[in-house]
Amino acid sequence: MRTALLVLAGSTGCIAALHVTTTATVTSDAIAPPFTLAAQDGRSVSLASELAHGPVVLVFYRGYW
Amino acid sequence: MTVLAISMDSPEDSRAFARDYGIGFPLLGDADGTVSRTYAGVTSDANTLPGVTIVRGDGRIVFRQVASAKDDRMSSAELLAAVDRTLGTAGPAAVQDGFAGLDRAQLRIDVGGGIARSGDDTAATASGAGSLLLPLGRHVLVGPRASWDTHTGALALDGIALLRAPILGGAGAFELGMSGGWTPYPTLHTGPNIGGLADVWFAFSPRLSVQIGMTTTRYERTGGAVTDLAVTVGIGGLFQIRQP
Repeated sequence: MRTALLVLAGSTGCIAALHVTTTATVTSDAIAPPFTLAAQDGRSVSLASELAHGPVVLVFYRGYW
Repeated sequence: MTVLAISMDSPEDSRAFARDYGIGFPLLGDADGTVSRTYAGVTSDANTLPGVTIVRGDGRIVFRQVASAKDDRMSSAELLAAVDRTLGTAGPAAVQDGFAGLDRAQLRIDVGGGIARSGDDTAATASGAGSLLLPLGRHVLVGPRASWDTHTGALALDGIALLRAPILGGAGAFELGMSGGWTPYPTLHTGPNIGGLADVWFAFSPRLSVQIGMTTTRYERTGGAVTDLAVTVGIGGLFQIRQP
């Protein structure tokens, strides 16, 4: 887990010379907006169903390259 | 704690990433960027703005970090420290902040209105009840209840047991239960009582909840039983009764 987090944290670093065109709408202390997305294995994953099992860490990254 | 990694990658790319780095948690594809825009932002090349959002078990966002430059990112140590600090995964806060409501004891006060039926006679009645409910895991609550209704003037002392199905990520529950006990007052009503209840419960903070439901109770008494049927609404105080 820690190694994988490190990989993802590292992959967030490569946005030199890019600027932000859309800023997030959520704020801290708000209720997290619901979403459902497909995982790499095709399984549908919803935030709500994951929260039913405990806290969730969302890591946004720029993809595998 | 669950980690969900989100990018605009195709499932094929995510499969390769998971395989090459041995990643065991879901890599979610946000192809149109909707979730990225909501939580983190989008950069000029139409890709996800990197960031981390930590969501507590009750759905509340307790930490956000969004990158603003190449080197503006969290180290793995900082990320793990943020997780520990906000969720307390290494300490008691983990339980308090996880399923705060479901894990806590509840002191509920309910008021209701409905009908009391005895033989062919039906009359309006109002009722009030206080319950102390203790959680036995996420799906069961048990405890004593004292209730009173205006029509019979009967004070009932019961034990109640609720089965609950958590909803809204553990912030609420559908509940179905039974009650049974003794009615010591007034003398006319002294005898056993048995009943059922169903409600929807919602904890809007770690300390306070509301519930709305229906309850029915049958009181044995001299000269025939009385059955109450009422719609109830109430509030609950939540408190921790044990250390994890």
